[in-house]
Amino acid sequence: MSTREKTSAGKHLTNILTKGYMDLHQKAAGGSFCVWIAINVPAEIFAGFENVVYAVPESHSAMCAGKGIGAAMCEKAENIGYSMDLCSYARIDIGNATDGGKDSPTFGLPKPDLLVSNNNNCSLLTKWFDVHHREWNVPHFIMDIPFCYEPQKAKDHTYIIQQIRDLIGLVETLSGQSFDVDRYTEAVHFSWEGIRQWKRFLDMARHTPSPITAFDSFVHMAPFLTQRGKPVLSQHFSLLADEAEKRIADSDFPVPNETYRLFWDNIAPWHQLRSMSKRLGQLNANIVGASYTSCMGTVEGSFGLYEWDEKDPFDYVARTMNAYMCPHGMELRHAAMKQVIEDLTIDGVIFASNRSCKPYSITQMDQQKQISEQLGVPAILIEVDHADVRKYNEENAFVRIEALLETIESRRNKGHI
Amino acid sequence: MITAGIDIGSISTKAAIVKDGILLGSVVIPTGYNVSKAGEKVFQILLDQLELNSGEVTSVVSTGYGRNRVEFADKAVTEITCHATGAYFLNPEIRTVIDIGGQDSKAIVIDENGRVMDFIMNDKCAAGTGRFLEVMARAMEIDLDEFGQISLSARSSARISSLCTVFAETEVISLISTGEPRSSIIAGIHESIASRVVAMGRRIKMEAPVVMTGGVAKNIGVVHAIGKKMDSDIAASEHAQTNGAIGAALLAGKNI
Amino acid sequence: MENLLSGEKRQMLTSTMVAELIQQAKEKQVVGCFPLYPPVELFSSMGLLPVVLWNLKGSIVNLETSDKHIQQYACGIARELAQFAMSDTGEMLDAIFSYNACDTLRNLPEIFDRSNTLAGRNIPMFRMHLPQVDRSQCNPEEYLENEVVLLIHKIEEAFNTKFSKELFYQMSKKYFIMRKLCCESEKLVAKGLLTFESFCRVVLSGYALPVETHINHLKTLIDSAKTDQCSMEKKVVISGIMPPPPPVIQALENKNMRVVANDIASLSRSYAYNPEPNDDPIAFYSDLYARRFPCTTLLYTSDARKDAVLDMVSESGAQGVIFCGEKFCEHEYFEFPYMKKQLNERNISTLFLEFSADDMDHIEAHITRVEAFSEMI
Repeated sequence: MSTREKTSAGKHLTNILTKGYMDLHQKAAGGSFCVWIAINVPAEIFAGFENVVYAVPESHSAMCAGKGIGAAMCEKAENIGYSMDLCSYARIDIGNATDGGKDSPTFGLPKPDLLVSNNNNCSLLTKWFDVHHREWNVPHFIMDIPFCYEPQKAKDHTYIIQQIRDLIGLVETLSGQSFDVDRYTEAVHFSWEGIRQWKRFLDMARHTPSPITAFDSFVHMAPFLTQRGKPVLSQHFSLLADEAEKRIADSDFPVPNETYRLFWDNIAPWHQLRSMSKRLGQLNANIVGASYTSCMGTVEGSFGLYEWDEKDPFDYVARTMNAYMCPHGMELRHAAMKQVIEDLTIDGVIFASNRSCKPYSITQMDQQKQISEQLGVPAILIEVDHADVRKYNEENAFVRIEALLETIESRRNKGHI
Repeated sequence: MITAGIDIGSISTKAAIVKDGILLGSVVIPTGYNVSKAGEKVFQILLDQLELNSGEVTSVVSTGYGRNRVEFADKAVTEITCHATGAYFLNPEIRTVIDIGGQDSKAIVIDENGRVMDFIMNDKCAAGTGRFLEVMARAMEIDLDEFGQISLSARSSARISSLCTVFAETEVISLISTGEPRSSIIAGIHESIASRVVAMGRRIKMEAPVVMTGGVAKNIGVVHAIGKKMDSDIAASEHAQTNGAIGAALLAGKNI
Repeated sequence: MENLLSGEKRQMLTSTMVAELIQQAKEKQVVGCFPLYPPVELFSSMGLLPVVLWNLKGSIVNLETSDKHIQQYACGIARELAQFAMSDTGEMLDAIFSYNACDTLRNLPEIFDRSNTLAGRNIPMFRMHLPQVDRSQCNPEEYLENEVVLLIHKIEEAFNTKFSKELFYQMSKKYFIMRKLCCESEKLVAKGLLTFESFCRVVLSGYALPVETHINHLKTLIDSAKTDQCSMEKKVVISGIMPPPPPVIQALENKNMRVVANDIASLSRSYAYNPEPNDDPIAFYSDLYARRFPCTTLLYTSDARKDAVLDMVSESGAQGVIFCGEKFCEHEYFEFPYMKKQLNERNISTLFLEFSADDMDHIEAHITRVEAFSEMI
């Protein structure tokens, strides 16, 4: 994948993210009620209030890792006693909090008035937010979302809606503002519009060669986390999808001699985006899709868009909650992957075993076997850490990736390389 | 009163003899395979050097990983307490001891009376120990004893990001293949070990002045790298290797 | 079953206990329960033998099967559980129960299920979602009630059995006695009349035995207590998921340290809160889960934990706290720095030990730390 010049969508992304963080800091400084959330928390809720802003520590940590300062920020947390075995997002965030965001590209995040974790994201996230809860004496709301081994059950759906309502009640009490269901409904509409454009963008990868790479989707997913419920989502993603469409028309492909179409399973290796995409491009390989970026707006068991009838926003949000990003069972994940392998004509799958994310990673060894044995699609497992470069070894990873490409090649040639 | 300390480490065995608060002498030999023999041998060598016989020694304390296998010792005390005692004896101003040995590393904070306030040891990962240096020296095909000197001539230091010994070894190999000067690779290796040890030590609130003991303290490059990382001057103990044995000998004279 | 016997030398289960377990496994249907706090009373009351699958070091030979399915950065408890359930030993299990204890444990059931299916074994997989909401913000009672009812239906269906209020009452009474005896033995350890080593052995063995047998073992343990108290010891509290391995406990006791209380998940966090016998499982579990001694894995108890541990330390007069880290357990590791700080501010010394699945090779290093800690306090 060649290092292309920044496209207009790329510039737009930089603008909306910069503006987003500036707005966040300004509003929080001006007295807005500030909530920190896990990525699975339906942020549209906060749009239902006059003056509530939200920050997403996971997204901020990913950004720090992408800027190459992840390991240094992890060290700050390690220096005050947090183990290197803990999730690197958490270490970056805790490290960042030790000095008020001194080294952060966004000057950190404004201090929260409320923390909202979601244990379906991962239960460690609740423990991580507890660190801030104790340190700053800020209330912590735990969203307790039952894990889906099977498609979401009615009892769980009801339980989630009950919690969304409890959360709204808590924000009302703490912020002194009242919740406006119409504004909330409107925000869910904006997200829904954005999700549809996002899907249109991801579906461009069906074209061979693909006009997009998974690395594009990794980079461009940030607004999904930090700008949920805003009109800018659909503006941005339609720009992105249009660009990809134009690339098809112009035959301008990121990997012009695309020979191997791969699929990625796990969080993005934020510290490697540039070098990994470049090296893969030199091998004529393109990671055309990733489970991590395919699950927004879907329900467990499929990466297909979950259609919303645009009626009850509570129902919709609770229904799609289990699919952000991985928190559902192995069989459901396998079913979704099986379908996407067909849809995108995938030649091989890279399971990135991520030391910082057990929810995503534990089951991958069996998933890999299922993919290669049942579907006959070559699959490998490589060792990564999503934000701590010290736990990643490029040579080790690429030996496996290149071996995967050789396997694909040899199958095409019936055993002759 | 004459007392002795025997410190049996994984690589070398040390002995020290103290008389009424004065260090008479110390000696270092390789441990070899027979731990209890090493203890007897090092003791005898030192007695011979000082022209003493074992009957003149009132009490013996053993320490180090082989401390429970020294049959002639009156008592076994851990190397944590012995290093603190030894370092305090050699310089009562010292508040922190960083000890890096072949298999483990530790940081010990001591109070104004030389008592251990807190300590921390490395986990089983080899990244912050002498073993890390050994692996790297082998990868670079350079004698480990030359590491300190070579690193002093480095103009810059190579970045070694992996903390895992195995991963770091492949990084070093690829640095060699890209033609990075060996002095800068070695400086990078020293920084890597320093960052690991300092990160560990920070968990127990280390205070200055700091002294470094253990075999790795002989490597001036590591001592400098740790000092730089901690932003403080660090002295390598004159008795870096025998500090624990000296502490043991002193403890043999006290009822601890 | 052979492996259970061969493992005996290395760990805590004694040969008599293993023999009893084997006998029981023949007579009763065994439900392998994922740690940490499964509803054992319910299974027992329905005629099944719940075996809580931790403390398994003694019953597995290696981790080869586990290593084929789960990464080595899963904690030792999960890896040993995987090894046990997916190798020969797993054949003694007639059903598996899991709940949302942590991120790793919630991912394992489907790996086991697939492995069983591939091996041609059809083993019922029971599950429950334990509500983790903060009870001051949300009311989880209705949800929990439904979960208990559903679980009862599933057990009835799978084993063709019928739930009985009377039997549940009887069983909850037996567990009440068992927990009471655990508390009594703990006090004897605190007074120096029993060793912590023998205490751990007997309490942990209960996870693999019928409660009646466990009660007998606890009574025997209490009867074996010394009567004369010895003095001059250093008082410590131990905290963690599991107690340290026996050689480390021995080193601790040899160095004159007495365990005056524990904050260990498989010990006091499991028995310290003792709900009254009840014939209504819904009321019983709603009380038990809400009021259980705080644990790092019960997300909603985190605010209560600091005070619970600090009270334990001050009431027992402990001079130090030894944290036994279960390597890769995020729940515990996110709280260590905070707990250490709280204790150090109150002039209580702390020692941190880290244990992992393949740790027996490094036992000497742990013993050195424990001895140095004793010299320090």
